[in-house]
Amino acid sequence: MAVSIRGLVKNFRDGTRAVRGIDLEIEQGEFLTLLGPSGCGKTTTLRLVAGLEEPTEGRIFIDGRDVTHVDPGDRNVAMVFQSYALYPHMTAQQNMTLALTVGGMPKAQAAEEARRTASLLGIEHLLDRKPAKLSGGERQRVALGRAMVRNPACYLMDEPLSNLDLKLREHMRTELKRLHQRDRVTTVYVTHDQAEALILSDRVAVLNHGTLQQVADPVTIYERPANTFVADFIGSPSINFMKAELRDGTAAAGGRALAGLRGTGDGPVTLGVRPEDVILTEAGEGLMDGTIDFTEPYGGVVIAFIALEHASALLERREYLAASVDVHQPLVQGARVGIRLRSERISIFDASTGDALPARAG
Amino acid sequence: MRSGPHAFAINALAVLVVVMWLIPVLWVGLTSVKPTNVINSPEPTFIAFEPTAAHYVEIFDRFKFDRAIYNSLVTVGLSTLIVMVLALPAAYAVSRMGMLMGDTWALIILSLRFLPGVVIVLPYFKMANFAGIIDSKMVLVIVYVAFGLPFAVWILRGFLLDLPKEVEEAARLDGLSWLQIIFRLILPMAAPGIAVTTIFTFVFSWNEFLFAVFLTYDKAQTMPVALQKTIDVYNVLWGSLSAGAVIQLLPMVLVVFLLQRHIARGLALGAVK
Repeated sequence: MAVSIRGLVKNFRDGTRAVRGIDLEIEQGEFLTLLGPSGCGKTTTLRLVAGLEEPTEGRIFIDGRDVTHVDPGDRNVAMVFQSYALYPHMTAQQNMTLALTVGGMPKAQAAEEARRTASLLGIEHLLDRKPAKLSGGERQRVALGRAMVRNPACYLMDEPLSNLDLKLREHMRTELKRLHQRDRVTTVYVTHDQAEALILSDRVAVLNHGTLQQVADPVTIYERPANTFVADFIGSPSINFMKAELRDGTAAAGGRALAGLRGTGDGPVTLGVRPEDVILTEAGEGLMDGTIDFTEPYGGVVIAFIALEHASALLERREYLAASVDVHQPLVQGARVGIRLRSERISIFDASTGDALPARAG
Repeated sequence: MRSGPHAFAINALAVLVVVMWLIPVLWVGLTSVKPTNVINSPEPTFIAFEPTAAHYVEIFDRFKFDRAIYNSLVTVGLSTLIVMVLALPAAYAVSRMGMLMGDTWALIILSLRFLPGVVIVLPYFKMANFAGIIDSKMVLVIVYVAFGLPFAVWILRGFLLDLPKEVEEAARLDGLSWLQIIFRLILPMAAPGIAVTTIFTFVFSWNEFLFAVFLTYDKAQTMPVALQKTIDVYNVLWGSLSAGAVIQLLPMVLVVFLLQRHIARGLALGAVK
């Protein structure tokens, strides 16, 4: 294991319980993202791995070595900060070579290393500039270069793209992915942007209130969320939650049995239905009828927000059922439509705990 | 610059304040080159006189001002240097290193400066006398360091708190030690704040009179004390006093002039985030 986190707890002096017992094994060469809303403990976890914070409990191993009480500089990890955190009085090259020369590398060799890394990132022409003379994207590349030039055991990235505007962020996202697939350096990446997490990661660790909710590959996270929190946090537009009953292993919503959807046990459950698994048909032909209240075009698809009769008895957390529809399918606002669900893709959660129930389509 | 009656009023006020501050300085400058009979005449004279360098000669010949200048430069320069070298790591400790009760310590340190000088000058005198260092440069250096350090730590702490924390964290990950962080990163990044603090510390000791007059009497006396010798029981030698004052003023003007860019930035630091 490249990075191993065991029983990690961090309580701050002001009483905040930021991290409440996290176990995580990160494999050699893996790109793992810590994802969650602000205050979920993802940044604190990263800072604990970096050594910038002392854990209250638990141990951290990097490349098999217990580094729980080792100085940040001796952990052989490199960090990229959201604010870039470049040394303002040094040129881009000096920013990149500082760690090398402090570590004892001769100046000329360090400069050569910096040039080599800079050419990978396309920033050779910026090496003599100070951070104040660089644009946001250029600063981010220098910050990235500063981490790469050290050739560390692990990259730690704390929302490195959040300060960039959308186009540049997408571009850098692709670049990060390309670099990671080329070099396969273990990376722990923190973000609150689920799209970023799904696109970049080998595995995503979703956090909430300082605890791990689910650790899995992006497809599993999206298609088989471990609980309603993960289901709700992942996916844009958001997932629909429907109230349903399980009786004799068959689920029923609004009094109508959902063919093909089976679960174990009896009692109230919550169904997680992605908008793309809601299919609109002629009124009267589906599971139930509804009225298209308004639409949100997303480019290739349009999200139709459908008002249901007795919506509060059918839906949880939302007032409308969201359906993702191809942009070419005609939608009339106010039209009555029938609703069918792709039963085999629906997730079933325990209505009281919110945890996913083991059995699905079958 | 804005215009209109409002701006005019502000500008007029600014000019008034500057004039009020400058007239006494100008008057001292004029007095230093006036012949004694013009100075002592009941009729005030502005420029209608024959300028003389006699007072400048006198302040050196009669009042050993060359030695006082030397003493002041050494005492104040050395104490300021010591204060700054100690204050930077101290300020870093109370502001950044997660020191237990860092803020409380910073306040306690500052409170040392709340004591009026007269309260502690007698204990200082007794201690210095006991140690046999009365009328030495060392005693003034010690006292100026003791008095300048708390103030310098306090001001520097404010400047350091304004620096972005991530930069230091990046440096920790890059393997820099605390001292390397302080002297290779904080020092250049906080340069404006350090310049301002240095000037404040320097000016305080440069103008300091009370401790100097108690703790020195001859060979270690500094410029403020030497100046005071121009006032004796019979009369005040206004010309020599002014000449000495002008000399004492020069390094101040020079320092402020050289560092004014930093001072302006330093004073604005913290005001704008």
